[in-house]
Amino acid sequence: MAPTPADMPIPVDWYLYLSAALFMTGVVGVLTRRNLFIILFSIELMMNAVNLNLVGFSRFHENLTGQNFVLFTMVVAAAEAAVGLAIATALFRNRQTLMVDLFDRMKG
Amino acid sequence: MPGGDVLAIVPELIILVAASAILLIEPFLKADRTAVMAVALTGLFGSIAVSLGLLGQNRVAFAGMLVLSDWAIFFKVLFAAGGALTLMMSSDYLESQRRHIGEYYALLLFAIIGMDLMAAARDLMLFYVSLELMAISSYLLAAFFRYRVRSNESSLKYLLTGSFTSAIMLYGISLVYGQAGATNYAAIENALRGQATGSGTILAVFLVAIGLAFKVSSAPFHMWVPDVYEGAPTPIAGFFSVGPKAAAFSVILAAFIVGFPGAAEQWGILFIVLSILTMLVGNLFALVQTNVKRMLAYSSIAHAGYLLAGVGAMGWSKNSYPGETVLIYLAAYTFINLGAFGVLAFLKSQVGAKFDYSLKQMAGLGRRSPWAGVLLSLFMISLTGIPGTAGFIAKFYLFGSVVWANLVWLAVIGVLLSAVSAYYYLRVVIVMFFKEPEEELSISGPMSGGMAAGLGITAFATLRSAFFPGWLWDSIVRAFGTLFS
Repeated sequence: MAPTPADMPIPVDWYLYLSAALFMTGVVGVLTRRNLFIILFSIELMMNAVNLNLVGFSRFHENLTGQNFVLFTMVVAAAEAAVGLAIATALFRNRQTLMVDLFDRMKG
Repeated sequence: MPGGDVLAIVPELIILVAASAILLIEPFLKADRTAVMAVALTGLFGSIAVSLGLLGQNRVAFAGMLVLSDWAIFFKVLFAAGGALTLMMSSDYLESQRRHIGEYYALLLFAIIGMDLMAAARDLMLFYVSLELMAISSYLLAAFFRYRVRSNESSLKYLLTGSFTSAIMLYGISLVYGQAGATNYAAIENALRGQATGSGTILAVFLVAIGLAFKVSSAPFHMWVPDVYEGAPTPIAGFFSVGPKAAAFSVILAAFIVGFPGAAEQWGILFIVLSILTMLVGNLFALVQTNVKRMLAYSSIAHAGYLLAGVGAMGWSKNSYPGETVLIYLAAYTFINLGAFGVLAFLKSQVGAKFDYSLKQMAGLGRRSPWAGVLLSLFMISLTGIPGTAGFIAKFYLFGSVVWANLVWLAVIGVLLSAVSAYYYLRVVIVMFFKEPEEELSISGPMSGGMAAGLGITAFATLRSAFFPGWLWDSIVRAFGTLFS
């Protein structure tokens, strides 16, 4: 890897540590929580950890690809959240709950 | 040159126009949905015709974001054909479920645009956005019967697992960008060539591989498959089992060969391990299913395992020959599996709510509806891989290439598990023809034109490609060649 650019006040590994911590928080949230909304939040957290990574690396490599990518990621995250909430609404109408471990009609 | 750039996405633009037209004209239609169907099919067949007209071009468009090559066109034709067959088989089914509305057609077309762009993408950014276009359309299609709990649950499981793994994959992509400073496949290869393949690169590549392994329903990321297929509308389940899966394989082949050839040995081993797991899980769980739709879901996992063996062999041998056999398998499997799900959709639309796809209710089908019985038997035999059908040719080529890559033991595992699969496939045939039904389920009407055409085309393709794989093979080899130019 190239050395950190001289005008980068915060070294790139700091971005990496923060982003890894955020990402793991999201992963643990998805795996342990039962409420659908909290799970959707945790997925957003994971995607924002990625955004942090991309911006940090963009600064590090001194090109704009990473920042472009962040714009697309944010749009995709918003679309995913919209669809997730729509499904949550439909499901709540049918089942009157948002606890995901109760959704077990299909097994085997 | 801007004109040339637009030319590279004309097949997608045609589908986009058709999808938008459907959304616009739908509110003005009365109960009849024939016009919507006509627009959708015109769009898809127009896209196929234009794609075939563009064969032989090799164009890099939009600053290296995507290419128009025989490789992309192979997938464009495959996806549009698969989508058209799905639509032909959907019309009656949706009518019988009283949910025949235009959004279904539009969403399916949007998913196909996403898949087309995935195959054409030469940049991780475009690949990610088109993957999500495909995935989000798929979540909505799975939830299409939104008043039914099963359809909701199916879609929710798809959405949660899908966005979770795509976030993991995105983290991998960000690490790839961190290593290489670029997201273009060729630029990544260029940047990584000088460096030794360190643990950082391998971690990044593995995270990307996990996201794609989810999309191809590889074990241990397969948990969603049976539930999603069971709850989703039947023709859509058939579409999921061939479309998004083939799209993910197109990316696995293109991105990993072009972008990460330095780590070929490592990802080769990863895919070999995933392949063994997937073949085992798919085949063993399929044995105990009593519901034919769920059985087909596990069978699609098993087939993903065979395909991954080809991908693994490609990484292991660092040669494109096993990858070419993966394409022939994908082409054959698309038609066979769509046919099998199509017969199920036909039965559901005929019998109605009482039909729950259980093996018990299939008893005596061979006598009550000989055509459905014969067609389903053909597809089951072909999925088993018995000579005389496309399934045999596909397996023969695929396992042949795995042996060629000096992975004889992997091919032996695959062939043995295919033999196991004969039990659950042929059980359906035996139940249909040799077992007395416990309750009489009446199959009232004849097959409609669309359904008959869809099943006829899939059956024809299943039988025909068994005898004439030569031209298919030639075009695949040509398509694969354009990947490296």
